[in-house]
This record gives sequence, structure tokens and C-alpha cells, in this order.
Amino acid sequence: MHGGGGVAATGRVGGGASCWRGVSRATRLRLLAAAVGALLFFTARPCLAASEPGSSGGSSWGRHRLATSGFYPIWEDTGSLLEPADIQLASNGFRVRIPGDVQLGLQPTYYLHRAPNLEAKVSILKRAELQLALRQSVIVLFRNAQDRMITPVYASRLTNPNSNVVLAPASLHATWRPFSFLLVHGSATVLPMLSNEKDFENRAVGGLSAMVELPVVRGHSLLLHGGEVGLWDHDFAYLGASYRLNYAWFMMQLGFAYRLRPEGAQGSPLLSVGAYL
Amino acid sequence: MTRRSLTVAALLALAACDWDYYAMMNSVPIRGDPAANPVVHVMLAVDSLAYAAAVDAQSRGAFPGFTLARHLTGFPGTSDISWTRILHTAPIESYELQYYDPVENELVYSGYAGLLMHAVPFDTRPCYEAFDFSANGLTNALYNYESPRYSLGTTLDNVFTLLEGRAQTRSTEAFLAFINELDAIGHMEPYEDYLEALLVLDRRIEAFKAAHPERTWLFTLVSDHGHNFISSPDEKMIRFHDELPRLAIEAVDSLEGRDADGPLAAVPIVHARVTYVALHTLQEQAPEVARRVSGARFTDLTIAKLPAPNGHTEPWYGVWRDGGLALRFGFDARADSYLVDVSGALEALDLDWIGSGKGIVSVGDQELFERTRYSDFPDLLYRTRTALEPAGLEFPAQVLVSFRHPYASVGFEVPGGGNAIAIASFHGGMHRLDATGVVLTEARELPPAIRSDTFLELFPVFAARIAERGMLRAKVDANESLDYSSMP
Repeated sequence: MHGGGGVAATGRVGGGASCWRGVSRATRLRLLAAAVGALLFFTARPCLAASEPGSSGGSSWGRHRLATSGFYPIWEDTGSLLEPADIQLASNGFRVRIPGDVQLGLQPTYYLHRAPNLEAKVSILKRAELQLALRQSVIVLFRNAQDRMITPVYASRLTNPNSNVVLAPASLHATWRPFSFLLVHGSATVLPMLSNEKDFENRAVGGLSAMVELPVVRGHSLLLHGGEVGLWDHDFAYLGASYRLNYAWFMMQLGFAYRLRPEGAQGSPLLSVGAYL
Repeated sequence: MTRRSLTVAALLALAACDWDYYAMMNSVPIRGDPAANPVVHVMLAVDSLAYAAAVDAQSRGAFPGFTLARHLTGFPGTSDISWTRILHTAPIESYELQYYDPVENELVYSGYAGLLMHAVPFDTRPCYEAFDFSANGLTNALYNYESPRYSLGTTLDNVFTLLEGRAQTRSTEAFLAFINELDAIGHMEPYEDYLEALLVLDRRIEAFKAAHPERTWLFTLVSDHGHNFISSPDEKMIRFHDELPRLAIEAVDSLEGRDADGPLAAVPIVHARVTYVALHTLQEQAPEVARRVSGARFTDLTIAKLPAPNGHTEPWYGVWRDGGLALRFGFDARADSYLVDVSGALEALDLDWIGSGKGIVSVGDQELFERTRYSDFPDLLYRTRTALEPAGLEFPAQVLVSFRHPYASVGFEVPGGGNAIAIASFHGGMHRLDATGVVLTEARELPPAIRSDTFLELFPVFAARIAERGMLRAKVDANESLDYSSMP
């Protein structure tokens, strides 16, 4: 996937071979996304009327048709937990629901990057239309974490050649369901960053995010993602969209987000593939 | 259950890539202290930034406060070997991705395999690992040629975003980024578009500096070769496998079992669209192959090693033009001087100042550089010698062909058409238009011309950064250094 956003594009510096060639890649992607979205919306309407999200309906479509976790790292999650005794084994999260309305998890691919991590999430309110949860995560970035990418085509803003960095995001998450076809997952997060300060200062930064979920067809969801990090001391904002599928035990979510900074936009593809056990 | 587990494992493995980690690492709001690193040196390694275009850009007001120098890059002027030599990273196999392995006697990454390797980012040459930023995502290579102007915008977005973040780390004194898109724009678009892309780069630099006054940012642009901005229509595109038989040289894919006394044979490396071709042949046949190819309509000159004359033990080299040996010289490494046979056609190479008549004249490397730096074949003897030796590579060719303008090697062609692309401009040859890149900096004064193998001597802060990344190796050539302070 392309890693850039093109917000600060080069401008027109010459004629294209055809009118389609003259259309920027970003515009083409937007048109494609709009077409796919419209197709899904119109084909989904009959199903929406008949389906009641949350019930298995006796089909092969999975039981986890609504997101129970965030997609964009650190800054978003949901107010809901897995069902009791459920296990999620996905590339962006191994999660297990344990007694006491608690869910434990970790991000497995970060271990491939030698970044150990854990998270605990506790449900504090469970109503049909509103759920609240608290989450505490810890991610350890050992020295030179920027060099842990598997492929050489991605680079990190963060470099820590002289320190181990501990990220400990604490957050409150809400899932509000005003309509059967619409869920809003909101998150408020504080991210403390702790190290020996040889590379950068210890600080805690707040952020707000929202994830709008549209369960358009049984087992299929479209999600819109957005967040602001830094708040009054703005650091970056992000916007993105994703598609989520749950069929039987299989789940997949594929999306793309842009991180927006004054220097430009970073495109960021996201993927999660896994299973519910 | 086993099948299900295997399926899950396979899917997890598929997804176990960098995307989530990349998003996480770029979503941490770090903050440094400008007092800890008040000055940051930024090297933008701009693929194919030509000297003439940089002069044009400065004449339009771009890059104010920058000092410009000719960057005399090695021959052949292609990215992989050039960056390897400029950055002094680990040697690569040969000049380009496709190469001939004389140990296994086989072509590696030829045809579709070579084409595919351009799009797959997993086999990165060591030189690109020296950069803090070298590519913009998995599909960067595809976007770069499908829509290079858009790709340039996204790359610059990412470069400046990373730069701002990396500077937060207290120990950051240098940041090295590779910008690939100008090469594709030069190959595919009109010159004005190329120049406009360069002006965009200037505007982005100035905008970044204005937005971050808390530090002093010293930018240096350096390129790996030039662009000749000479279009080659199809009738000027040379298919070398067709040309060699016309010169009574058999085009082969392997030299295994070939006899030095047998028919002439050569393995042409026809990969990218460039103005040179590497020919692997038996060393005994190399002078005759070079002579014959030099007489072809498309050839500007050819180079190959020669047997040393009687009484000499140094390595000797030849330069052929128009079907004859134009220059013969040896190299005395201990004296750092060239032994030039002045009986050759030196005038055509702007070398007649060395002498005439008969005999061998010794000329120092320093003097040769100084007196040839503005000629059509700048630094010709050094570039010839190092092209034929394992300087930055393992398997040098025995014969190298530099094309006459406006000819170019067609490179790999996809059967069925779609090959009428990337014909607006070329690089790779020995001529100054193909070979002269730039060093453009606001960090220091520069000599008017720089041998690219010495770039890091002038910018030790970048050498230190490459060393930090564990990529810095020894000199490309033991005699590469020059004393610029003694040159006018």
C-alpha cells in the first residue's frame, strides 16, 4: 500500500496522456471508495430491515459482527468486551475475556518487532445502548525501535537510540448505539511516555477519537475513524476508513488512515486477520 | 481442527507485517529540546537531479543561499552502483539489479524476475539502507512510475513529517532521505515538468524551514547521476541482442565452456533504459569486443582492460572510439598517477594537453581531475579505471559501452507492447550530460566540481550518520581522495 497522503501534492506540472490519467490517485481512490460504499449501502438495505445485529440468526455469519476493539493503534477502542470465555486471535490483537468483566490482550505483531506489550480492559457499564470500559495498556520500545520494521519501506518518526521508552496509554471508551445500524465508539486517552529522557522528554499527552460503525449487512461493517492527539497542544489528527468482515470464526478488517500534520500527510494501511475461538 | 489452525496461522503470518507497527510508531507525540540539537543537517538524495536543471532552478530563484557544484559521478551512471559508491556502503553484485554472475555463469534477475524485483521492496540494496527514509510504502515503486508527480507529493509529505519527528531526538544531528521520483519524471515527462518538480522541492524546503524556526536546518541535495534530456525515439532505441551479431559477436546468456580462441561472445546486460550497456566476455576477448562495438553507429565510446605493455606491471585500460583505440593508459597506485600513451587520439577526448607524438607520460590524478572536470568526459581516466575494477561491486563487466546521443539501450521489453514509455531523457553514459549530477548545499562552501566518491569527505556529518546506521564501509577506491583546497 502506498504510504503517503499527498495533501501537499506537487501541483500540476504537466499534461497527462488522458483525462483519467490527469485525475490524481487520491481522487481515483475516493471515487472507488464512494462507488463501493454506495453499492454496499443499497444492497444492504433489505438486510438491515430484517437483521437484528447481535443474534446469530442460524446462519454461518459470525457472532462477532460488531467491533469489540479498536483498529487504529493506541488511540481508539470500544466500550464493549468479548463475550464471556471468548478468545480472539487476530493479527492486531490476541484477546481473551476472563471472569469479572475483564478482558486481557496483547498486540502479537509488536512482539515480532521486539516491542512487548499488554493490555487490560474492564467493563464499567453495560446497557444495550451504551457501554463503557476502561483500558490500560503498556508498550515497551527497546532502544532503536525505529529499526525494527520488517520491510525497509516504512520509517518511524520516533527514534530512541539512547533509551528504552515505556508507553502506558490509559483510556476511557464508550460505545453508543443510537440506531440499530449505527454505533459510535468514542475514546478519551492519556498517553504517558516514560524513559531516561536521553532521547526526548517524559510527558503525557491526551487524545480523543471516534470510530463510527455501520453494520450494513450481516457480518459486514463499514467504519470511519478519526482522532485528535495533543488537543490544546496539537500534535496530529487522523482520519480513516475500514471494512470489517466476520464470517463464522473468521474475521478480517482492512482499512487506511491518514495522519495529518503541518508537514504533510502520512498514509497508513491497516489490516487485521484472525479468528474467534 | 488442524486444518483450521493451519489456516489461522497462515492468515496471521500474512498479516504479520509492518502496518500496525508503522502506525503505532508514528502516532506517539514525542517532544525534544531544540537546545540539545540546534542544528540539523538534512541530506536529500535526489535520484537523477541533473546539474543543468539545478542551474535553471537557481536562475528562477530556487534554492537561495545554496552553493552548487558539479557532482561527477561514476560510470556507469545508474542508481544502485552510484549510491553505493557515494555513500560507501557494502558492495553490490554489479551495476544494476540484473547482473551476470561469473562464478555460477548465469544471468541473475533477468526478464520478468528482474522487472518484479523493482516492485518488491524486500531485497533492498545496502546503499538504500543507509538512508533514514528510502521508500514510501509497499507500492511506492509502482506509484513512482504510474504517477510520479503524485508520488513525489506523498514522498515529500512523508520526508518532512519524519524529519520533524526525528529531530525531536536529542542526538539527531543528521537525517538522510532518498527521493526517487525525479528520476521517473525525467524519464517520462517533458523537461519543464521536471524543472517544476524541482521547484516544488525548493518550496517545500523553504516552507518547512519557515514553520520550524526553533532549529537551524542545513539542507544538502545530492544526486547519483544526471539526466541528458535528450529524447530517444524508437528507431534510436538499441536492442543489443540484435546488434552484436552484426558485429560478428555472439550474444549469449552464459560464458560457460567458451574458449578464448573461439568465436567472440558476450553477455549483454539489457535491463533498464539507459545510455550504456555492460558486456561480460572473456577477458582475452574484451579488447576486440570493445573495438568492434566502438565502431557501431550508436556507440560514443567503449572501455575495457588491456594487457600491460612490455616493461609495465600496472593495470592498463583502453578507450575505443569509431572502431579504434583512442586512449591507452595504466595506473600507478603508489604514485596516484596515470601513465598515458600519448600516441592515441587524445584530442577527441579533450586530453591532447597531456602530450602528443609517441611515448608514455605520467599525469597525477589530481591534475587530471582538475583539467577534465568541465570537459565532455569529465574525470575520464578515473571513471574508466574504477568502472572496470571491483569498486563498489563484486562482478565488473569486461567491456562497457557508452552510447552516442540520442541513442539508448531499450532495456527489458514487455512482449505485446506498452513499451513506448520513459523515452524523454536518459542517463548512464560517460558523457557529462548523462553523468553530471549536483551537490547543492547551504552547509558549506564547495569546490566547483566534486568527484562523487569523495562526497562524504566533504560532509563528515553524513558519514557519521551512515556509520551510526552500521552501513559505512571502507573507501570505494584507495586512490579516490582529492585535495580540493589546492584547486582553483
